[in-house]
Amino acid sequence: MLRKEDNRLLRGAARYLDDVEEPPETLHMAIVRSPHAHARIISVLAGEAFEAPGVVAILRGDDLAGSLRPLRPDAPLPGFAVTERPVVCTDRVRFVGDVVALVLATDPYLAEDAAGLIEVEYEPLPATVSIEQALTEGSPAVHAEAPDNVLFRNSVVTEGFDAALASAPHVFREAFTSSCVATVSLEPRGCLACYDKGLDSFTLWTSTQVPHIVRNTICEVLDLSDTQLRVIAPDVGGGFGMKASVYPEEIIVTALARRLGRPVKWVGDRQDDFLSSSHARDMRFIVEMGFQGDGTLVAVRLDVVANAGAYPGIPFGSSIEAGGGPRTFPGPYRFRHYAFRTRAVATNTGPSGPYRAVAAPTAFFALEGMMDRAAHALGLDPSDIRRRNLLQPEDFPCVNAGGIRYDVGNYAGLLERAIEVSAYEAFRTDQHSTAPDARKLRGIGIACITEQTGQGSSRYRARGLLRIPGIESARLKVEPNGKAVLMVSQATQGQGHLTTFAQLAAEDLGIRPEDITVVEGDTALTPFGTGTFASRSVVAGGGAVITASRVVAAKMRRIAGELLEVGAEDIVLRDGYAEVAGVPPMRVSIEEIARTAYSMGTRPVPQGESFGLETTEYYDQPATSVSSAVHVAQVAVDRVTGQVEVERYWVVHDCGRLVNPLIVDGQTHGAVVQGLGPALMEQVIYDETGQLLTTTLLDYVLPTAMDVPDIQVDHIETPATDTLGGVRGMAESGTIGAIPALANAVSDALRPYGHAVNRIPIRAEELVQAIRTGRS
Amino acid sequence: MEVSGTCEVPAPCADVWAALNDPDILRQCIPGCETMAVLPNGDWDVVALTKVGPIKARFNGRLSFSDIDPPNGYVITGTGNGGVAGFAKGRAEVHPEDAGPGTRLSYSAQSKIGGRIAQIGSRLLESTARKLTDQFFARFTDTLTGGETQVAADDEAPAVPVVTVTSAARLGQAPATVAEPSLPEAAGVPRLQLILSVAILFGVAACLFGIGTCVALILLLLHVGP
Repeated sequence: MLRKEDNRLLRGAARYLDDVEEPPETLHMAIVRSPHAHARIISVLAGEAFEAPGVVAILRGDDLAGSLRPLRPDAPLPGFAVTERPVVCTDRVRFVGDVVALVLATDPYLAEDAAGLIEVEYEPLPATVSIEQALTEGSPAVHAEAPDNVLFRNSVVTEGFDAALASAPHVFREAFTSSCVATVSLEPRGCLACYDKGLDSFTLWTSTQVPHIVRNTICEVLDLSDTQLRVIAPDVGGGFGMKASVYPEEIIVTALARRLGRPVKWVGDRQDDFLSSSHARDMRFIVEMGFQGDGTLVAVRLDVVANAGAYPGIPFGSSIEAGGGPRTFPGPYRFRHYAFRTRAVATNTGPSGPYRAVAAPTAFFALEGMMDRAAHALGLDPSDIRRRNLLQPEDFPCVNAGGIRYDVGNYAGLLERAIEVSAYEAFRTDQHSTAPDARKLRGIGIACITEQTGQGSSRYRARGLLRIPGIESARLKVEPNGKAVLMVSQATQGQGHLTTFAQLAAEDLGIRPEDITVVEGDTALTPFGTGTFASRSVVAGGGAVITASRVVAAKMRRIAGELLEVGAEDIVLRDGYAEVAGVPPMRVSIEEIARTAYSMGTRPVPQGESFGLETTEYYDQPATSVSSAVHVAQVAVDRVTGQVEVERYWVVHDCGRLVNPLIVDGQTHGAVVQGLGPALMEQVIYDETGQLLTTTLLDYVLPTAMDVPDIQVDHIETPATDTLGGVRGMAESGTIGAIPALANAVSDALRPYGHAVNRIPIRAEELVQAIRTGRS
Repeated sequence: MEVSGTCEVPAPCADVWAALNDPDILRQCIPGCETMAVLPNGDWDVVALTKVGPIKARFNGRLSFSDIDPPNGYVITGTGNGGVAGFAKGRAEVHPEDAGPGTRLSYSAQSKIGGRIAQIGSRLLESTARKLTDQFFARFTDTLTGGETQVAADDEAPAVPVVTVTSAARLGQAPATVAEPSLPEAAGVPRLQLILSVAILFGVAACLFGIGTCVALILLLLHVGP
């Protein structure tokens, strides 16, 4: 089914944050940001800025300290160092981009001009700018509460691990590094806050994925009641996890709307976005894997470090990557012996946050990279070593070495289908017969991955993420004319919720999806929930939608039964009608049922039945539902320039029941491209003093249409047994698979030169160097 | 960021050294320089208007001198603050040495840039640094020789200096080098004659180097102080 939202989006009728009507008297905010990675603030002088045209107010951290509580990203749980983030800096800045002062003016350009006139005197302090430096003893501490710069740590060892690893005849050890990346959503962040003095209530428009979490956090910081603040997410031009954090700007505009008595608006430009929106994936995995001679993986030891930046994000805190990486690492494999140590460190660089699949792409870069190296060392084809280790149908249900339950999967079937559609074996045969001095070095790479989707409250509690409720809800209302409105506790940023949720509800209600309007992203209209991230919508949101639809459908059948004088169990809801099963002419329209329910019909509501056709239902996914995929990438490396061309690309994935295949394919394509970027070209670069060098799209290289091959997507449907409707999430698996598949393909191409990829992004100069020095 | 290179100045070493220590001469040579003041402790306060890509700002700088070894060279340490545009800290070593009738001036500078000018991309920083350095040495030469050197646009080889610019962040990238210099030919043959005659005059003066060096030393001490 085509997406319902596209007609409006493509005709330019969408309303993104900057399109929302500005009330009269709206003030525009410009931010003075720190140019130092670490410094003491000596003085902030407005100087000429006060006289600048259009300027209404200038505020520093000291002016606001009384009314803004500091943010606490982590809860005081074992393993965490509890640090604080001031909303506006008062005495110290901790990264280039930290908020130092605010200028409010009648238009955004005048505000920015005036911000340029503010004089701030700093005393620069030594900075810690990389994982290596943070781990070095004596490195400057970013936060006093964590003198060793470790914000989160955890370690786990399964029973008998040491003996198991010692018994493995072949042990391989490698380090894998992924570089810091930025999200670069097409629409940067922005927010607009309005305050009604008479009602003492606020409305905040913000480009966010998590309206309820934004509301909770702002109320906490400003000491407001939940009932005083309404948060609305308008159309959002891409979130990808970056907009699932709560940012200082959102809190500041809300506070200032009341303080200044005028609406306050802030919209970030691309530079602001690179400086202050969350960064991700600056991680290092040191992996040790023990194999039997036949390629069976026996034991895995991991040492993981993630860079949490100067401030971990809210609500995900410092453990999001360091905790998630080891948990997802076991993937689709059977091994039981697992030991890991993981840490998140603080550095004087941008704040961290989730970005499409979080740590999983790096985890599988490491895992799948090791599988290929082991295969090569043991004389096996990469596909064979995987066949040897994948979980088989008879293994399910099982709990993986990291403690995550898998209900059912067809991992071997995915691999066989992927091998078949990609003509992998033919490629291998041709590969051996290619001239060694050909200009292009070709390689093929496989990645077998799993994705944890739709996590429920038990998972967030276990992870210590107490600000994330983990539940979702749906309020379904069938109006007197028989059409429905479905308000879901989610916030779409382009995933097609307005279509998918309508389709899901239509199945039980018998109302056509075209007649079901989906509303999201407004805390005044939608019931309480978590928001949209981590591939949770179809599982968690869908669970609530299905539950609500079944409740209303049951009531409609009871009313229809009464109207048609049959039992409710004999009623079938279809195409806007309630029919008697097997006797289609005996039917009544859903409109008539609704009119009856609202006392607008000829007959009263049945005895004992309440009025109305509406319900609010909550859903909590038990643990997580795991989807899976196999990616195959074929690349050609130019031996002279080192350029990598992705020639062909295949995805075979299993996300249970497909609700809308078109949307699933679209999500897969986008996710693959967001893996291709970090694999081949994207990198946020800080220099040795912590200066951010990549703040424009000239320096931060994103994939374009020229870089993307034709992505072939194939589906297997193994319905989930642990979700309503048999669905699984899938929106991030494209990214999880693309990075390892591409890295393995390039390593495969360079195998004759003894070079394999241990770091992303893969640089052309690295490959050229390897070809020059590694002639075998 | 690192900038280094050499510049051939058609004037004797002693004169070059004197000029390098003369605030009035340097004020005319520093591109965009608005004011320059010598402080009691010998430091110099400089205010210069500079444009780096789309960012234009007035930089307040403080220069101090050390390792003074007349007439062989000195080290300049400086800090500059451009408000919202950013800041810079740097250190430059400057060495004039005899090269026939003229002087070869070699310099090597390392600087740390921060704030908005660092963020807009080191590509722009390098080309701007090269251009500003070209302009400085062209004016410096002109001041000493009385000529009028044209400073080439960014995409042509500049007339005078060889400048090598490397940026620490551009890992693995070969430094951008500029073509070998040739003496300025802006006004053709007569100009060359003028330079030669000036050089000869200065060469004669250099024979009286004892006097010249002492004068230069006295000037130097007066300017730089204890």
